[in-house]
Amino acid sequence: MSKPWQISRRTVLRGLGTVVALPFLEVMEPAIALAAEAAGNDPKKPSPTRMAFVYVPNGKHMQDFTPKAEGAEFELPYILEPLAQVKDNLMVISGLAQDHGRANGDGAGDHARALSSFLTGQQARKTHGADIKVGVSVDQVAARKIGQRTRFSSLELGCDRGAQAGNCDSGYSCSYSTNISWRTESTPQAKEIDPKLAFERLFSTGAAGDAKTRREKYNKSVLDFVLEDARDLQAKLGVKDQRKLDEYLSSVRELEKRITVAGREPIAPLPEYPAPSGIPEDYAAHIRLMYDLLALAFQGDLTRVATFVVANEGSNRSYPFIGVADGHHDLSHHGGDPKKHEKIREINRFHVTHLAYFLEKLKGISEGERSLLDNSMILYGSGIGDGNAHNHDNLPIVLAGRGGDTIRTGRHLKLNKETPLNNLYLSMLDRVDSPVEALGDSTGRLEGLV
Amino acid sequence: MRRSAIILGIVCGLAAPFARGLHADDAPAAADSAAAETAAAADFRQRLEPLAAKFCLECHSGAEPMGELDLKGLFERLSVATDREPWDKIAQRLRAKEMPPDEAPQLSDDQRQQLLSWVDTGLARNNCGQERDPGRVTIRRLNRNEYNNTVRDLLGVDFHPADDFPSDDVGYGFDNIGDVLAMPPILLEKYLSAAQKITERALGTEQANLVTSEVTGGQIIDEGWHFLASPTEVRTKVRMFGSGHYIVRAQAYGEPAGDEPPKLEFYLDTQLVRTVEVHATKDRPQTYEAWITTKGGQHSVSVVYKNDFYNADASPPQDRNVAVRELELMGPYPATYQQLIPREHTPEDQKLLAREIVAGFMQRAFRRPVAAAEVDRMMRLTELAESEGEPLGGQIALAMQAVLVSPHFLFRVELDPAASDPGGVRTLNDYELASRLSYFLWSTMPDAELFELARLNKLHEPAELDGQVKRMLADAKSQALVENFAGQWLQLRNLKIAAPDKQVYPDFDEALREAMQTETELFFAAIMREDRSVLDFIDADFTFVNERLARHYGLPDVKGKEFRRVSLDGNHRGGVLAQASVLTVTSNPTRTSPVKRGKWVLDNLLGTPPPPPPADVPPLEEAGVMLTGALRERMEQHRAKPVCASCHKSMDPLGFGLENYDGIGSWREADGKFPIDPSGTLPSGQTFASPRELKAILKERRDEFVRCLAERMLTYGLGRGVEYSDRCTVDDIAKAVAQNEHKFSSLILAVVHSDAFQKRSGKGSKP
Repeated sequence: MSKPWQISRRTVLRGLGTVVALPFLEVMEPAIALAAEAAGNDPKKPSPTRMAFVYVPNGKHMQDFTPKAEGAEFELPYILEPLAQVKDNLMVISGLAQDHGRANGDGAGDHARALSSFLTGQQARKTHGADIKVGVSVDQVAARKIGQRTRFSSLELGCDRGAQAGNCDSGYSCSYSTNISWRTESTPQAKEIDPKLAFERLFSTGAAGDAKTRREKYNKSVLDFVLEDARDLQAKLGVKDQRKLDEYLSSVRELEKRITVAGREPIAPLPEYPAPSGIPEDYAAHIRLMYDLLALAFQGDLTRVATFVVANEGSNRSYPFIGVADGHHDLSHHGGDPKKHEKIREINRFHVTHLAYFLEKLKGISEGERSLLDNSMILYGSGIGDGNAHNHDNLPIVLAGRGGDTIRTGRHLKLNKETPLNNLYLSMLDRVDSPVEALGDSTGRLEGLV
Repeated sequence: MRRSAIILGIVCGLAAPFARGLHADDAPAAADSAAAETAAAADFRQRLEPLAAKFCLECHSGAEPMGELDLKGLFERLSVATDREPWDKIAQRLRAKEMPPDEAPQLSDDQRQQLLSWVDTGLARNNCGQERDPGRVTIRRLNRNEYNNTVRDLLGVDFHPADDFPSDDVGYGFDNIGDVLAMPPILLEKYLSAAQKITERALGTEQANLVTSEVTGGQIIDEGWHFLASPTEVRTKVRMFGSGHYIVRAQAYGEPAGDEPPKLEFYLDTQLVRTVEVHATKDRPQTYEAWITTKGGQHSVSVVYKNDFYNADASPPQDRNVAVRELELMGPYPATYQQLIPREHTPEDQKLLAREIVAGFMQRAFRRPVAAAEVDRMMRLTELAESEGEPLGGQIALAMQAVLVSPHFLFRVELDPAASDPGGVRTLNDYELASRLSYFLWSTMPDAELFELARLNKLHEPAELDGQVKRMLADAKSQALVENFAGQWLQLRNLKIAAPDKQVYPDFDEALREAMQTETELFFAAIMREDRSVLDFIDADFTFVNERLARHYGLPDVKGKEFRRVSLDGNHRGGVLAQASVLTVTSNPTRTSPVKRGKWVLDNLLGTPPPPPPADVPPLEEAGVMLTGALRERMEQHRAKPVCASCHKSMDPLGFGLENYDGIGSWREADGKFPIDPSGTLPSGQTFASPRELKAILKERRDEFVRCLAERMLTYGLGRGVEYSDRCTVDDIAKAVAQNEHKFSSLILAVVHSDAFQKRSGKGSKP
């Protein structure tokens, strides 16, 4: 891997500052693709860059989230203290906003908008269901581009089921407050919440030998068959129904791809991991299992793109195991009550404790000279700043990992107010070979990551 | 904020003011309405047409108006009565501020409001003639419950494979809304793997179940054949692992003579299970099979040759013989194998049988007749499996897997009226009607009786339809309506995730949680099965309790885990508002929430949801309010702020009226040191002093309740949101219920008889 035209991404990004010219990336693309294909077995070859988005609901107690000092000399505030071991491997970013979390004329519904705009940067259409529309999320933009290289284009994890009844938020369909990842502007990617099922899906090899070959052949035939069915049917349907068949067809293609890719072995040998037996009673154990699976999926290069919704937006879960008996959402409307602030802080810190567990785990997995964390970008945050104010600016955001040595970590990066969160996403997409010129309300790439 | 209130209103309740207006309008003479029409037209010409011309006509006129909406023609006619649909759409677009588009010059809020109120008034005046717009349901994917139930009824396996699927998103309060049910890759992946598991359950797996043993008997000749030249048998001893159904297979050929073919009798131990005639000849031996059903353990399986025949006098001598080899046992198979592959077959008719089975299965799975060409295509899969060496069961299994992943199974497909006529309306055929009925009342596929009536094209006949609805409600499968409709309407499903604080409510445990849920389900089921008045939901003199719940309610003399019906004369219970389930899901973990309870009543019983809170409620300390005293007093201080008052004065009193029930629904007279004050005044001026009086007021407002329930039931029954244009249908249903003593069945029947349920319009089939 020493041909002169194989510029490392780092060189390009450093050389051009943050304004990365598209043609350069296109020149790089084949090389990167090749490298990624073969990565893993040969420690000298670069490992692919992975990207995950971890969501926590109801905002934060920002006074204890935002570091006082800027730059490298910052100290971790109370909520972020658990991240001490990985402080040098992350960046706290202040000043980002997600404008489409705001009403913008649509009235109440900040929770539904917070989650649905978080990765899309688009305004969710206010509907109970008839015409759901928001936008394609950043993870899915990447999944479309680089998902073809791995068994799973993307992985969607969570801990909460979608709402089972009633109205979720002020005239918005529950789809908006349940789903963070949007495959198309109207199709959310459902998330897996049961670690047992997620494990089986990711790692189960099922039958072996002839039986496996036959099963794959059968599955392929079944999919071919239903694909034809669906095409015939689609031709006879009205537009709205056609859209549903589009979802179906696109899912069939995704599965066909998976059967093709499934033949390849995981590129890195995975450690022994006991199969989870279901959703643990203990929420903390549940969160840890999901993080474990995410780490394993990245480690084995089963996917390079993931989302993890630690709790649905507007979640009213109580946290009695850390002494908080009240519902999180009820508390977040603290009305300035210091006792409630105290409890929110504890919930926030609880979530961060588990983020630290995950990041430390990634840091402990080596890939050549770097760690898996170095080769990742883990964005952690909420689409609401303060739960009481329901503001969508100055969002609590942590970006961990060095994106394959393209991000200078160990800093508190303070941006101008109202910097679109989607600008950060453009810069992240560049680093996973999925550059786009614009996404949602982005106004350009984010300066200051390097 | 005003706008959101209106949008929300559409879902459940907006129609209420219209309806009142309408009922009041029933009386006036046509002349009045014509005069109103003329006045409205003059008003439009003078005040609004210039506005509309300025902001709308540039795009919406000419040869190719945008969105196929030609406002010029619309304004010339100016008849909301004949142009209802485009006016409705205009109202929707204006209301949602979708028009004018962002890049165009914008109406001021006031101008927008003027236009909207003119259109809304016109729409209301032209309400509800004879015609009903049936609306259009987006094809509905089976949700998780429907999938489980359908698989159960289709294949006879009841193991809830869909419990492993991602949850279905909720819209309009329900999880069966076609537009909301998405089909992401993870779900298709689960369907594919579930299909395999399901057919394995239903048909068994061949490889795993092979049982072989040494075969004895007859005279062994070449290639392992046992030759039977006289009445004798071929036998094998087997140890069967587990009870169930086994197939015995024997290859055989005969040497015919005399007036009948050689016959073989299959025996399990001493019991004859099947007799076959052996027509196969030595050059083309064939496999014969028989089903046996047995317990596990040691058994003998034999094939006996009895009808030997020898005629030495004939020339040449006639000699009937038979040869057998490879006595083979497969099993145990699940009982469903025999139901799905109903008869033994011979090699000659295996293909025919496979086709018959697959065609029958497709028909039931797709819930409609299937074309020969569709079956032909499917047979390519059985052929593939056959070429891989699969026996019949494996061939059928592969075809079934394809059926279970096919869009014709996973979606409930109804085709639009002719594509050339997007505004057209068509009546659903009887098969489609059967599916609508069965998924509405049973959350599953139609049963044999519904299919038969559909085949005979009789299901739509009103008397037949009534009879079927009553039969279906009486059937045990209508429990699905309890779990899925009541579970979501009353939000019982949220009880599973309710987390009352152990410190505040040490009495709460899982047994109580379960009992709460069971009470409300039994209560709903009683109203449904006994065809009681739906007003019982508001207040009733009976409920269902077991010992655990009776203790919670302070009801004496109830022992044991079983639920029983109890009379509620003279105590604090009665109706869903006094049931612990509803009271718990509307509480916070550590205390009651009068606001949540009040909102719950407005949302789910009265159908007049309050507008959502403004986006920027300032924290209380900024408003200079220090909250002190009982919860009620603190909330009243809160409410003193004008921005909050307008809505909270409709929500909070309802909640305060239920304050005697604590956060898990026990009765209390005081909250800590503060005595409970359950009195209140509603915005209407009605006052009450106790929960009982509050319920009496709600019962007086029965029309609002019935309308709300009708909207919910219609939403659930159709699988789509009930829109503005459905308000006449909702009127019809509410009226029918009121005229039939509010009987539960009258509600269901009115939904089923509505055009919305029985017809389909092409509206929206084009972009």
